[in-house]
Amino acid sequence: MKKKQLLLFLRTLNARAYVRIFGQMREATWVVASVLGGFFTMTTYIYLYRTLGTGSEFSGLVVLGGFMTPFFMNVLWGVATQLYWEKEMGNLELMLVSPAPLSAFLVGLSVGGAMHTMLRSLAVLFFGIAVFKVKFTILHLPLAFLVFLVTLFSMYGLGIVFSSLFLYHGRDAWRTADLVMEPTNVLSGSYFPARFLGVGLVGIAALIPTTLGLDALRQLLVPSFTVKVLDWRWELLILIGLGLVFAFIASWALRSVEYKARRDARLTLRWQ
Amino acid sequence: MKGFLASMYVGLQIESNWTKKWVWLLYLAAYPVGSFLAVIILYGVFGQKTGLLPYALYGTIFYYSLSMVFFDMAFSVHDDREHYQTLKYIFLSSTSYRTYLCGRAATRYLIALAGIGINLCWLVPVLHLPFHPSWAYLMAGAFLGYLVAAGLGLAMASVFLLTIKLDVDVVDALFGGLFVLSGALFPPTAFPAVFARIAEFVPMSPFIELMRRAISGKVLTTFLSDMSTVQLLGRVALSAAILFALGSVLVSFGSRQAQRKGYIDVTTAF
Repeated sequence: MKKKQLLLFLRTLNARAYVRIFGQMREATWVVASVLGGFFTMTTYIYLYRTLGTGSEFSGLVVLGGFMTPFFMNVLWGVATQLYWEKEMGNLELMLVSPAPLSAFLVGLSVGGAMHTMLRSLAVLFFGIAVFKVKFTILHLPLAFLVFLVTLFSMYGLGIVFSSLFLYHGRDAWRTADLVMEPTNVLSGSYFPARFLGVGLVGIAALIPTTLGLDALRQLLVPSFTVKVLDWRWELLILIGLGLVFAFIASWALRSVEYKARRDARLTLRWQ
Repeated sequence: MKGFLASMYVGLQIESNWTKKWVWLLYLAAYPVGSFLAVIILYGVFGQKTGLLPYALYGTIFYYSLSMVFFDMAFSVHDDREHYQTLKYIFLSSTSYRTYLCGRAATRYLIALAGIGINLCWLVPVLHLPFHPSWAYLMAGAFLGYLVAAGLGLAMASVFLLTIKLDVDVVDALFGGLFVLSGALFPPTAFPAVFARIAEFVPMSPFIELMRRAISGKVLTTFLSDMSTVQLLGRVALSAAILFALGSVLVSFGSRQAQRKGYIDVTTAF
């Protein structure tokens, strides 16, 4: 029985991830537009730093921020709000009457989302390096890859936590995501070292996995980066802890919010 | 006019009826913060000596006001067709689609301006921003800015009418490119000479500079400093006339073609 459940979970995960990866590749304009959008944001901040007369190492920090930002966007719009969109399109009821577990849909969505975002992020990184002649050290590349994977695990865990909250809510969830998108991007240090936020704000911003993940990546990949929040080893441990906590909360929240949504008849409620 | 006002009302309902009125008012005040938070932090940490904070802050918030119109017009095609599935009813009504789009976006613009106004109440005294408004220029600039953004928005809406799967990321990319070039966040003199020259001809650039001068009462950098405020107003008026006329033609063409091709009620669930 347990083997059957595991197989069902994996099949659902695979099916949802497949749609996310290959469905998103079918329209070339989606890929081009998202890469261009990321590139323009990066360009804005690089020229801003040049205007402000800061050192050239800031270009490297911005390029790394530009690499990580699409993942956060994907977590927010591709995972956190996804159950809301499924509800609006009428797919959620089909998903819920099927024997497949809802958590497998969300994990599949996260895996697929991370993989298709990777292509866009790598393209942004490539253009950043090529156009702005940014240099990174590759001495700690395997460690940086480990930090990157742990950051993704933690980020997508947070996305699944939010998706359960957004399942219950309607347009207010969409509005909330829209409201927090840019401030969260700023607070997570996508465009500047998070330490400049000050101790109090960094403490709050550390709850967003991108903050510590980016800081650790900058320590490992940008040789002249000194304004770190914590040592990258501590940041890695905190990210693992955050990821586990988010996974636990997500699993509990998904069950309880689904029950509450069923009880209050909100699973098929559209356009509210 | 009746159709325009009705569309403004629809826009207001879409923007506000998802929550209680007091929550919406808080949302209205909090929403623009995301647009200028990075400016305050970056210029606060690195740019205190440059004296460019007022330039960047005013530039960013006025660009934000235009982006709301621009994005709302393009997104509403997708939203009405795919999400609410009401686009066909709008086409069946006696109001033209262009009027509907303009009405909805006008509400979005007024909401954005209200949000900016609320935030300026604390930004000006806290950050000691120069504030010597010329109300006549501000009002004229705000009206013409709406026409500039609406012209671009209508053009984008016509593209969305004729494409089914085009994502709003396209608008984000275009909007991001114009943001870099318009000199909203930093003087385009930082660019290589060719791009700095192009920046002067981006339709948003004279609008943003006009609004900066109209609100601060002074010329903040050398960018477009060779033009008087009246000349800037003239250039914004010219841009507004050309872009709005072009957008109107394109959206009329797009509407007709979309009806012929059967794109009005197509849903793809992408």
